[in-house]
Amino acid sequence: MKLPNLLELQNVTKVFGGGLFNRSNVTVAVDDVTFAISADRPTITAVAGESGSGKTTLARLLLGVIKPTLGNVIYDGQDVSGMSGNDRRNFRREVQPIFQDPFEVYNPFYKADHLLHVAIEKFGLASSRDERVQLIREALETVGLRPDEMLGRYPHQLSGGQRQRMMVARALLLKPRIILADEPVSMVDASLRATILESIRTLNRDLGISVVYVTHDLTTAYQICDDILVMYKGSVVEQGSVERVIRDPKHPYTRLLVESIPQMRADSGWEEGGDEVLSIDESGETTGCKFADRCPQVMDRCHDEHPTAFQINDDRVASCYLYDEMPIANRAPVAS
Amino acid sequence: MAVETTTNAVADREQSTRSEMPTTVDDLRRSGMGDSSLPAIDVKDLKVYYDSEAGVVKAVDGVSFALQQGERLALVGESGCGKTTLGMALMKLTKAPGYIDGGQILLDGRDLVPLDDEEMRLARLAEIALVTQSAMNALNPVMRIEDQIFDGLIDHGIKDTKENLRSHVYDLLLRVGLRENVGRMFPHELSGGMKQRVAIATGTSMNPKVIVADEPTSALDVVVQRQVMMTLSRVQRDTGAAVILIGHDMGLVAQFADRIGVMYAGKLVDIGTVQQIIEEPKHPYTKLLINSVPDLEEKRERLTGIPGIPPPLVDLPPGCVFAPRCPSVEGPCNELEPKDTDIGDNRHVMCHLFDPDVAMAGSEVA
Ligand SMILES: Nc1ncnc2c1ncn2[C@@H]1O[C@H](COP(=O)(O)OP(=O)(O)OP(=O)(O)O)[C@@H](O)[C@H]1O
Ligand SMILES: Nc1ncnc2c1ncn2[C@@H]1O[C@H](COP(=O)(O)OP(=O)(O)O)[C@@H](O)[C@H]1O
Ligand code: SF4
Ligand code: SF4
Ligand SMILES: [Mg+2]
Ligand SMILES: [Mg+2]
Repeated sequence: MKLPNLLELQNVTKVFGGGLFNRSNVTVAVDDVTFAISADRPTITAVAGESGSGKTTLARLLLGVIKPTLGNVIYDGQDVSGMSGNDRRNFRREVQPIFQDPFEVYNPFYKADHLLHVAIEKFGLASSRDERVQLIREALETVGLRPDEMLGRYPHQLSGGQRQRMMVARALLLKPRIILADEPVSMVDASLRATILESIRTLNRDLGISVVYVTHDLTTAYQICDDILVMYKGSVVEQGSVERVIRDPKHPYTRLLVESIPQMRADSGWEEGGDEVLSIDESGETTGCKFADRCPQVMDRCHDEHPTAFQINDDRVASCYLYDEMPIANRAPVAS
Repeated sequence: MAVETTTNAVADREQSTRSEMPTTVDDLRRSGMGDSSLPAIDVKDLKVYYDSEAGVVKAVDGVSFALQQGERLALVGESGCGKTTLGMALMKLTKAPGYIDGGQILLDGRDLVPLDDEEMRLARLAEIALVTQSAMNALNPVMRIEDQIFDGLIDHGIKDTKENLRSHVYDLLLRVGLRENVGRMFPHELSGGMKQRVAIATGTSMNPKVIVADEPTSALDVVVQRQVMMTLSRVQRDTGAAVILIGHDMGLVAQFADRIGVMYAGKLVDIGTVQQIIEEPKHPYTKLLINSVPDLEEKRERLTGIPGIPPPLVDLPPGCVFAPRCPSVEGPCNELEPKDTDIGDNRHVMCHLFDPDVAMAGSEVA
């Protein structure tokens, strides 16, 4: 029998403002997204897309901190919004976030390791002070920090990368099954980026933790992830193995994204070429493909109806009419 | 007519101090480059320090480089190595507890370091301009875009008819790829990329000789980043300005710049063309830095950052600042401070391995 998925979104839509039937001033931040983190083996999944495409909203839905407007978030076979008591407590411990700017989560008046102590107390992970300190030391060492240098320092006395790794250490203490990392390295330099991502990958490889890596850096996504979800204006436009999607993007938006990555090479030309003149146009609502107004391959029918997902390979789907001769992807979630 | 009065007052006040400054839109349109035999900017032994409780933080410690007109230099290096401090100092925008401790910033032969606040205010925009990551947040939220650019011109002593000024504002917007109607918008109505283009338009409105761009796109996603960098490229080509791009995205830097300067702990330890730095990194730090950048060509088993952390910039130990993390460290490294060595092809490296006067077992001196 197939294991249930660890965490999944079933046709989830999240609308902010206005209410679902008040069309004025609403943002559909996440639009009918279905995706699952499998329980078979620990994976790393990237969620990529431009700013405002709904990545953070998707992460917050997965964390259960906001409720979907439509659809369900299922953890270990159970609907997250219906959870209470022990189940909810387990869920809160087993699915841990790591945010973009860790400075925001630190209270400047407490020492930086305060957060680690709080986490241990909240979930009753240690029975004595010594045990608590021991756990913290181990966690810091796992993420490559020297405990003696870190303990007792205030947040502003740590570098951005150190603060970020403290957050990874905090997540680690709780022995989660899933880590949701929302742009965990967007503020750090190349060297630290490599170090932090490698420590996240170690958690996946050695401790069997599944990771959702929210980012707009496709290069690192390609390096550490198994699968990727490309979002555009709240919809998933392409989804599948990172190897397929990034090496051979099919959706015109994914292609644009991949082409836009500046590569560390001595050839030039990246900053030349067709440079569009922008003006303000309130294109607003569309019933068709959301990418139609920017798509170089747009066709008449693209304006009529939102394209459904087509199965392009066994391990990749794309929502675009260019592939309508392919079978429609069967992404319907297991009936609940 | 309030505008007219301000214009006159400002112009009168400035007449005596700076006669060579552009004062009309026509001057601006004509304002070409200065003496082309001189570098656009020539920085000599610049030192920028901060006073702190722990001691003096030597954030920029004896940096020298020169840039020709139209040349693009990128400054890279780990967070905290002094890039922004250097960029701000070039603009003379260093704030207390920071100060310029010594050195020269020669713009077209004129040293900016001794200039007073008023002289420097005029030199900014007209000679050297800054575009930062947060430039887009610095826009006045209750003022239309075109009025902000307009006021900036007047502030810098441009005295002309309203019509001429307006048309110049629209030219500037078009130069950064924004149509007239964007000028009538307020900042909150623009996307991040559009705001950053406005910041470029404002920063370059007086055709500066040097543009300092400090992580101008790090808050933007790749697609918009590329558009903004294209815009900066075009403006740079149009005006012939030299550009100093600060950032730590090695891909971006490689694609945009002509040369790369690598900073470590307040020092410029390696400088060469993009090709030299990427394909034949010399300084041990540069090698590790280049190696920490993954690409789309091959999937790596491991991502390797540079082990260790940069030293605190107070009380630096004697010898080479990179010694505690350097895989090639040898005896002399802990005692003797490496000096800037010209290894040919206008390539400079600050490491004993390349200095013919220092005996190192691993010496790379031919
Ligand atoms: N006001 C200040 N007082 C004391 N030290 C400071 C101050 N501002 C900056 N510094 C120190 O100066 C050094 C250089 O900082 P700077 O902001 O120039 O780095 P950077 O290279 O721009 O880093 P990043 O890549 O993170 O932007 C750092 O060690 C920093 O801690
Ligand atoms: N709490 C909220 N209230 C209203 N709108 C929101 C809220 N959170 C996000 N949004 C909107 O939803 C869209 C997606 O945002 P977000 O998920 O933060 O995108 P990303 O993380 O990809 O940048 C944006 O248009 C954003 O303005
Ligand atoms: S559906 Fe049409 S508009 Fe949308 S991405 Fe595909 S080709 Fe372009
Ligand atoms: S001088 Fe010595 S320690 Fe410094 S970079 Fe060169 S080899 Fe390494
Ligand atoms: Mg986000
Ligand atoms: Mg900086």
